[in-house]
Amino acid sequence: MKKQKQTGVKEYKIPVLGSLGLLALGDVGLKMWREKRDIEAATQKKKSGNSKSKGDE
Amino acid sequence: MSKKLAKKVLVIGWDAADWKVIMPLIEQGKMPTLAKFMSEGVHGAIKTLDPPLSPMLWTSMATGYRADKHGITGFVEPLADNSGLRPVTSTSRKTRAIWNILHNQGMKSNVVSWWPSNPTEPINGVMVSNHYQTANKPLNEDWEMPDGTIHPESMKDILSEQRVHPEELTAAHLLPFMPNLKEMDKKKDKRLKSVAKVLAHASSVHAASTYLQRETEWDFMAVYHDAIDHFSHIAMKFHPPQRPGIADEVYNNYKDVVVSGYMFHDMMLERTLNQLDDDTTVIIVSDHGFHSDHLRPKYFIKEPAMPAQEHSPFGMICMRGPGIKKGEKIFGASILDLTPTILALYGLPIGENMEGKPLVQAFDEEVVLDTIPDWEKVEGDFGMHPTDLQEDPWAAQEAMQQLIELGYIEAPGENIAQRIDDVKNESRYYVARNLLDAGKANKAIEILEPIFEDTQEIRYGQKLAHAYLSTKKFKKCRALIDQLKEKQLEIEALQEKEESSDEKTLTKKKKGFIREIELPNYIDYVEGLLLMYLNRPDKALKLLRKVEESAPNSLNVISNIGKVCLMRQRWVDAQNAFIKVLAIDESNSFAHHGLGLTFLRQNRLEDALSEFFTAVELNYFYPKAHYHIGEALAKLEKNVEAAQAFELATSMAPGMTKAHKWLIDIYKNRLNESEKAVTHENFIKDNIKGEIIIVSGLPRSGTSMMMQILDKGGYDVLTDKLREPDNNNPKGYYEFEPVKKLMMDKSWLPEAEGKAVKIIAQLLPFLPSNYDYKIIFMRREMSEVLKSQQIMLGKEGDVKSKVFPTGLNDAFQKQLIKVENWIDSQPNVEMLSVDYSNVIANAEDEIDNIISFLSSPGNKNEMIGVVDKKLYRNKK
Repeated sequence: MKKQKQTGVKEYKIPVLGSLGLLALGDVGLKMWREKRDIEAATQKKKSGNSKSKGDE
Repeated sequence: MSKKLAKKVLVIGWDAADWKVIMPLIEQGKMPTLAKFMSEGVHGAIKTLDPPLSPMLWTSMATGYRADKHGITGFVEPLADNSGLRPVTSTSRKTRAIWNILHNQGMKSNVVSWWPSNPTEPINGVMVSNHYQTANKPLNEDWEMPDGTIHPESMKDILSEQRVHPEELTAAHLLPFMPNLKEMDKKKDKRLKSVAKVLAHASSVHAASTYLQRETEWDFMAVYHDAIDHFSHIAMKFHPPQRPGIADEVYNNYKDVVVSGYMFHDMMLERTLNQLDDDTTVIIVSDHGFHSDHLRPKYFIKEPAMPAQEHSPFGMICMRGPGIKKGEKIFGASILDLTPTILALYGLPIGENMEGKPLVQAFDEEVVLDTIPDWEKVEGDFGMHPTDLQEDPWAAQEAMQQLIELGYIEAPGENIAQRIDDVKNESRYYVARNLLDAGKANKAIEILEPIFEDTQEIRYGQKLAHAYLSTKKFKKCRALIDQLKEKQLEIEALQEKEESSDEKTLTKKKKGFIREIELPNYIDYVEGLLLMYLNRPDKALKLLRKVEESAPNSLNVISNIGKVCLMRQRWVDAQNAFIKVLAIDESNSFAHHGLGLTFLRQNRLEDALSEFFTAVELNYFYPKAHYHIGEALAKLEKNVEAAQAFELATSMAPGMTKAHKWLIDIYKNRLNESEKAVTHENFIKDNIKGEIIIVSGLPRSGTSMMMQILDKGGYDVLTDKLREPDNNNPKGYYEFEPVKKLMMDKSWLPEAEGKAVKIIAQLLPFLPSNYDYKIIFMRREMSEVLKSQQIMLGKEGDVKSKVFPTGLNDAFQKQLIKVENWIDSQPNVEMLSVDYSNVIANAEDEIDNIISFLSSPGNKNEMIGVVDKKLYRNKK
């Protein structure tokens, strides 16, 4: 028995805040949004860390 | 094994999805995926069960059984240690679900969030329980999955990641639902939080199912979404058009929730379908509908499971895939049909004791269905819980109670115990309603009698009265109705005294009543039906109209109003009632037939035909509808087609003498095919000798007056005038002496053929079945009948002192019920109920009814002239 069709996701610009469209893509959309969100959060954290360190100097 | 139409089946459950919301969205292009799906398969309405409570319904869908068999009887059940309540669990299910049967057949299933499915069952495949998506802690705390959420354990980690926490959602997710989100108070607005929670749940279920759909091997998959139901409960009251009393601000905040919810489901569907192979059959189905228009309830009756009052009786079903027709509509589906249909698609035998049927009308080829007496009796591995885990929670609770009573265990607090008792009674009540819905009124009575006796709760009593009525226990029904009415008065008095009563007594007294105070007049509905059964149409109509005022959306109430109006030949009123029914349920074959009949009687033959054809399309085995198709066609001079319709009617109901008579007329006089008339002539010869008009009723109910009306109208009457007129009947008795010996001697009946004869009600069951009878049954208040009889017997003294023989009233009522039952059961008898007081008060209308009933013209003015108001002497 074969698995279901492996349908890829079309080119899609992932918004940081996510979208209903991404939720509707199921596990794949959820994963893509969370990755984008987490990367953005890490970037922001890093930025704020950097600016904080600069401020400290 | 019968032919296997489907290799794989995916069932998508959309709780509460309703065509009335979907169709406008499809027209606006807002649900394109579903629109395409419908064009590629079949779709139709699906009838729910009563009560429309989701855990019971989804279990019926997964098993093919009603609640009395499958054991899921409500939303909650007692904890095994009797210390409280818990949501219903899969261990309480007493029968095998479709995935258990498929497991036994060596097939793999994925089941996601079915209600109830916690704890998950050890099936061949993956099961994700209905507790999976529930976020019970804030986002920043560990969101653990309780034991029993996932089977097999190896899938726990990956599926855990697919859950979406409501606090993860952002404005980007929520704005389509609530465009004014930015202005709304995010901390205080409970609805906003609820919308986020429902959306998160739906997203979790969808993420888990898309993952499993793609990454696992399966033969069967079932995914359940509760989001449409929940969005609708939150916001259907704000769904456009804006209703009076809904403030602008709140309307604008939530008016898009329902529409966006449906659109989101369409988007999820697109993803799901895109992941599928072409060899998968897909079924999208809901368990009930949801009122979205003028039928939205204006108020709620105070009772447990109150939100279910927003549910409508018809949900939606669509099917697409190999073996399924394309672009067609299906009719008459019930939620009980889901499991038999899935079994049929796989070519597996259907349980003969399953209560639904496979929807073969959706299949694009004829299949020979295989059956099995009872899947429950098949031995082997069904992927169910070990027997020590399976339990009847109520039995467990009773066992616990016994230990408490024996002193082995401490009793739970009074409130908990009371709560468990309440829930237990409520669950029994739901099962009884489910049995009544299935037409198993005797079984319902067995449940309702003890719980009504214990609690005296009016709701239970009302259903019990209905069950008595369904089983023709009219006397018990009458007594219970009276008891419930007294109780209602007691409640009203209690409310009046509320301020003066001491609080403790009041609380105690109100305990049994509190939930009943705001009930609509359901008891009037049951009484209305009782009067209808007892052929008191005018009184029945009055009560049913009263009920309709407080329950304007009730299919049953309006259908019965239509039925009574038909009985009274009020065609326009009946027409309006059936149109109302069809506005709620367009696939109601009874209403289509009723509406057709009103058109037929108003000579709107084409309209009548259209309704009759719809009725038989919805319910093919409907002899009366086929008969009326024949009648309409014959009146249109379409004699060949009319004959076909009458032939069909007689093949379904061979005793339908009127159809045989039509066939004789058509074959002999219209088609010149006398040879075809022979069979029908023989039937009539062997079975029916002719038609006799009978005027009946209790003695002193106006039968002599009716005989005189017929006489003056030009109808032949059979009377020997042996009994002279007297003060009691100054215009004559119109009797025929041999009638009195009807029990022993029927030889005089040929003399009555084509004539009207007076026969008292008690003698009617002795009429032989080889004649057609048209009975004009006279009705009069029993007290007036008794009074008149006493006077006739020379007992004026008793009348003045109002002393009548005790028990006479009861005895007459009993006899009437017996006679009415007999009339109901005779195919060769038609009856018109005529109220004596109505004849006096409104002679013209009543005479019109009588002439129409007799279907041969009478001299109306002469007939009206007989009515002498002065003779209405013994009023109550």
